[in-house]
Amino acid sequence: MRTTLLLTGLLLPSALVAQSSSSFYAGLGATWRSKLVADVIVSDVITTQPAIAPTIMLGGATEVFPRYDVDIELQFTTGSYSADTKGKGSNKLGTLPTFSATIGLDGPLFKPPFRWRASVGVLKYLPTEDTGMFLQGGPLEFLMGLGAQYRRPVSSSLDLSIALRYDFHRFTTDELQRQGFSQVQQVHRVGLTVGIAMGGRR
Amino acid sequence: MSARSNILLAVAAAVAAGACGDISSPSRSDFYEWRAVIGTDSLTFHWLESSLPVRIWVEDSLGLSEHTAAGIETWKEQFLYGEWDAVIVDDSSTADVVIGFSIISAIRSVKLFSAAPGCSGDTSFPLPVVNSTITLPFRVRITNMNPDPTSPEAQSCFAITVAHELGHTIGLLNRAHTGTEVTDLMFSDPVSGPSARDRITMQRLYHLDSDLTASR
Repeated sequence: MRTTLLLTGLLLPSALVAQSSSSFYAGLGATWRSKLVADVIVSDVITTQPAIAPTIMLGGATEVFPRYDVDIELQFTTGSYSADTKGKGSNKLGTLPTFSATIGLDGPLFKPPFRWRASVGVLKYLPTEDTGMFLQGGPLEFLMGLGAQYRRPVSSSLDLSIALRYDFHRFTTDELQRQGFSQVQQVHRVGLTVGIAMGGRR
Repeated sequence: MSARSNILLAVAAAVAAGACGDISSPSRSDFYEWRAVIGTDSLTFHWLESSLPVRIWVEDSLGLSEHTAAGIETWKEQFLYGEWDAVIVDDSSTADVVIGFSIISAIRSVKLFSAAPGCSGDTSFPLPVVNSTITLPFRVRITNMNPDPTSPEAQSCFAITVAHELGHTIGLLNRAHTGTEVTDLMFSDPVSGPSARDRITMQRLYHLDSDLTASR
């Protein structure tokens, strides 16, 4: 599954960039994520908090209107997560990689080379161990996001690309539901990547 | 307002509309008595984080090792935040818990019995007298009452009895199994489980202050 998604991520942008109106971008960075679960047991307030996660981003865009592009973006993050008990310390729970695939629309923001991006997609949690709230595996969640991108030429064919991304999704797991948790947790993510871009608008 | 602004506003509104709200914890109100009754005191015990993982030695006989490994996994699965963990060790002299058919109970001890159909079990530990400290190890003895201890019935009994006794060593120390029901793993004559009540009781226990400590 992961191999298929990664291959898609690598091949699809290459196909897009082959067209003159298409561009490809890739970046490395970091993603901050808000809490996954807030729980109270007896009088302990426990927050499950992911750490800031190293991030790999790949994307490809193609022009659909004179000033607007449609793009596909793939993002992989991996970082630890912990249970923090208020006043009592923290307990590391393991590593929690995520993979997301989004389709976006982007257009000019203020003035070139800034562009905005709005997106929808899916995010899959891929915990390294099926324990605790992930006892029955990681969920697949719908994702909505906003972003901004800055491109600056550094050579005849290559641009420096800086991308700021915000997205949110509704989080729960089968195990949390089995244990009686109700509602869902709104999880926010903010990511910043720096990388390269080629093709498309310059 | 431009078309671009309209698009941005619509997207921002959609994001904001879904961006509020928190998950709700379960009430965890359905639990049973877990405390050890020692003299006139009812005392709570759980392993401290610094003691984890708990080291368990088990007699390699009649499938007890496999039943113990399964029992450890069963109890680990009851926790959401890694509050308890255990490993099987080779050296009984350094173990926090010893399990077997030939284990001798501690002298002047607290004994906790169970009797599933076809076998029985007991967990013992010396009476904690000095500074409310339990002297390790917890001693878990399994007693076979089936003429064929390799039979599926006997093995099933060993499995549930080991899991039950492990529950005592984790902190469910009430001798009378007060408040347990037949569906609970910690029922005096266990036949199934763990139940939601076992899970809730254990989760609550690990978020209370421990009156007793354990040391060698």
